[in-house]
Amino acid sequence: MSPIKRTRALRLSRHIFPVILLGILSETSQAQDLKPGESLFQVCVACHSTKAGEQGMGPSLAGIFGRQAASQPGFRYSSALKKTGVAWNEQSLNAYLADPQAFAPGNRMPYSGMPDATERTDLIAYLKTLK
Amino acid sequence: MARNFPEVDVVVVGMGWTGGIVSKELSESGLSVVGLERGAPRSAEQDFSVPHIRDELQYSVRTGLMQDVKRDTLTIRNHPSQTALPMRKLGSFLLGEGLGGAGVHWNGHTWRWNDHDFKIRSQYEERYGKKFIPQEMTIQDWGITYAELEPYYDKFERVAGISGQAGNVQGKLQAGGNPFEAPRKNDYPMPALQSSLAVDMFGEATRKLGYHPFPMPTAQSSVPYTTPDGARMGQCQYCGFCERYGCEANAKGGPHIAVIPFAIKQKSFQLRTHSWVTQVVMDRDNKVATGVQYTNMLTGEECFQPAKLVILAAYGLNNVHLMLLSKIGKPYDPSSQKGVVGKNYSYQTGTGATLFFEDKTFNPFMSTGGLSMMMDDYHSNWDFDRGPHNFIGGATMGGGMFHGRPIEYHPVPPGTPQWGKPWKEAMAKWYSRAMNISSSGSVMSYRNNYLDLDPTYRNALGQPMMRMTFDYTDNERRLSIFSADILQKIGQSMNPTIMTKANPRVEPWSVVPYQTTHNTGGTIMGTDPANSVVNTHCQSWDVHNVFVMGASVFPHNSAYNPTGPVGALAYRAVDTIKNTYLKQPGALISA
Amino acid sequence: MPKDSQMPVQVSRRQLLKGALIGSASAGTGLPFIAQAQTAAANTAALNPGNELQAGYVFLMPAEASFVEALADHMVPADQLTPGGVELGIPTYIDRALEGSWGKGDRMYLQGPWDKGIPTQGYQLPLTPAQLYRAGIAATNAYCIGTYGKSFDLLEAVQKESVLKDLNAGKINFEGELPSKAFFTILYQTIVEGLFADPIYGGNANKAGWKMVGFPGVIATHTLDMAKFKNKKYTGPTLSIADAS
Repeated sequence: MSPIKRTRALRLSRHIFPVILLGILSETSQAQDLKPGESLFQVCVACHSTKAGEQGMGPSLAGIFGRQAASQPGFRYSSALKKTGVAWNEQSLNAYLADPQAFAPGNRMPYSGMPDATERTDLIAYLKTLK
Repeated sequence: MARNFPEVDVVVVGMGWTGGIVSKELSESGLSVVGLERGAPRSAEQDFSVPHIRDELQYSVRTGLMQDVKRDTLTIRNHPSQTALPMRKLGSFLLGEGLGGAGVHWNGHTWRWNDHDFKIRSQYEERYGKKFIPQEMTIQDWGITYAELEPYYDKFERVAGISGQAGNVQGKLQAGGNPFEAPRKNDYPMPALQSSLAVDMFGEATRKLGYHPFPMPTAQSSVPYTTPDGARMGQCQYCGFCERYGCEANAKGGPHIAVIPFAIKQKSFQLRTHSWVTQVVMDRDNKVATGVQYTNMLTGEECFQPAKLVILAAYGLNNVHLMLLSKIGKPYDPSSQKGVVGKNYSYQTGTGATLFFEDKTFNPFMSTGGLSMMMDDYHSNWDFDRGPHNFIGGATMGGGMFHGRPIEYHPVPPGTPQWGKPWKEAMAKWYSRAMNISSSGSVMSYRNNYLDLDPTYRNALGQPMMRMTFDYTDNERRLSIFSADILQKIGQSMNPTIMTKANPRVEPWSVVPYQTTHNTGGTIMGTDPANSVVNTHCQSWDVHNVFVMGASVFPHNSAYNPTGPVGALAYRAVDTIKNTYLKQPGALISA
Repeated sequence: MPKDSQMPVQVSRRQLLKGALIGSASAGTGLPFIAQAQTAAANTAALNPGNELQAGYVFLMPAEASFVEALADHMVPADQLTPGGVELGIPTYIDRALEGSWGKGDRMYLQGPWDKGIPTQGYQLPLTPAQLYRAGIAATNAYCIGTYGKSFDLLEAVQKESVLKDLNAGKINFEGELPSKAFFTILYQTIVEGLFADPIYGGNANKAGWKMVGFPGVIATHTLDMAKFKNKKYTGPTLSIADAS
């Protein structure tokens, strides 16, 4: 296994986060072809599948854009997320991803948020492509 | 009569780290494998879901993910002259149970033991002279070297997903890492975790004193990570519910993420949970194992699983128990010092102190299992002269908190009443203004520290429980006094408002307060069947088709946590099985 | 003559709690604009049955209830930090715990033969936690009546203090030889649990125990907080299992 390229300053701040991520992915075959949003999505893959109906630790994100929040059968959502009553669009996804606990207090997604607005825009653009 | 199953190539007893590794590797190479787990199945999405898992009462206090000692436990005594009594509740060590075993609820600390441990007797004799080693201390060289194990450490670190800062990569010292570590080919798979205030402060203080602090190498993912096999791990959220809990985000390396699912993908692998193995079954000549006997705990039915190869991977203590129950090898007797099975049981020692800072905010609940700054200046540092201190072994020291869960953690300064208004006020004031420093010390092996079968007490299946006879000796007391002294100096140098005194552990070992779940020995490794139970490939000297995986093969215990070598030795044994043993089953090393 | 001090306590406890819940729910939470719609939802959660103190006991008999209530209010007195132990639901926590599987000795090896053993061998009594509790309360009350002429709950604060200190030090010899230190250990442990366990277990009402120390509870996504709140007081909400369900 070849060594993973990494930056020297290894404190995890949001500014170097995408650099580390791309560094890791550069070892996989198609890293250069990944759009920024898809790279950012690697944060999500431990819990979320992009295959329709495949629920895991998190619900499937296939077709997420435009869908009612907390609406897929076969996944047990938190009341917090159900109560938002939102449909996932640019605005709601942007707010949720910026600070999930502020958007839906008590929801159970183990993710702290993506503070960078440009990154969120890229990620949301990628989420739109998931059918 | 027992229900008979069709014979398979391999039966694996226990589905924790080593059982998972062996099951995956051997089933992927085309062998038929049955994995038997005494406890229940588990999945992260159900068992570790939030908020269910965030229940300190259920999982910390009532040890919800751990072994149910109502149906099986050990008996305990400090010395052979005493009568052993059952460990009626979990305390000192927290045994795992269920799919993933303790690999689900561990704290993730993953070290590479080196030649200072593997060649312990010859190194101490060379440096300090034969007389420096007390007569009743039964340490021995393991028969392996760090160099042999290095590629397997590397493999295990990638599979478990270890975050850390390397100190020595191919001989080049790296800033911020452990300068005393043995050289490694590659860096850690992930960078070190973020630091907390406590971690920063301990690092600063120890650096000022001339020590060499570095972040704890640990199995929490500092970044989202995919293992070489494709297991996906989330980024650690610093939730403060690590040890004793399963992770909701797959951000803590564990067999249920890294290896067991890949075994399950193989058609040639069968997983049976609720399957309590009671004995390894031998052939008529007592030379070869024919499989294992187990009880299906869902129905009570007795079963026989025939197999060509038997892997004991049930956690060190259970491995020893099974060897004794199956009458494989000669049980150790401390008075005659004959026999080997059960010999050289060991544990760890330690001490600690709490520092209170009126002007700091530590937020202990914002934490994770490996969040600490460590120093190795008194363990793998061979330049540290043990002579004047007259002990063998060493201690790592560290600072940081792993959690802030309030039932377990509500620090108050010494002298605070235990209840009432002043107690409440002290808890409110100091909860976020305190941090811990601690040391983890090695324990050598001794004539009178051993495991055997209890003459009186039986478990729920009517089998004799295993009896544990263990205590510290003057060697460990001297080490602990020394460690406490160092911690005291470090703590004072940080100028806390108040500091509890670091008290050395000089009383007899007690089963009551939690210490560590680092039980070692009982089926020890060696180069000579006269002084070991398994060879360096973890193969039983007595029965060539029985392999024993886990810390029961360690001839003594280090200051380091055991999981690094547990994983690495399992991978090495698997390689030997695949490349050598299966081609010509038999004793790998002639006795 | 049974004490009827229980009745008024229960009624006022309920009322007090409802008031406390409403008060806390309307306190400003500092949520950003977009999440204000959720505040109403959060308010409703605070008034859910799960957060209300449940009246009545299933395990504790009258004298035991008086004992446990007196103990809870003595060890966790009402002050500016939290309501008293009774209002926090600590006796309710204890009651349900003793009646439940833990109280009945789940996950403990309780079979004989039994031997006192030495301290390093740990707990060696044949008693389940519930049996130990019941026997211990009876023995403590017998001691108090023998020493002060009154049961524990009727003692002056300074007398209660003396009894507890002596129990803690193992200085009291119970009739029947039940080890008093073993009893005190379980008493103290259950008080701490009643103060700090998730409110779903009956104590720590309104998460007051957690708020007292600043433990935020079950939702803990702190990856960004590690840097944001380093050496700073954490300002996030305090959420329990009920809040996050």
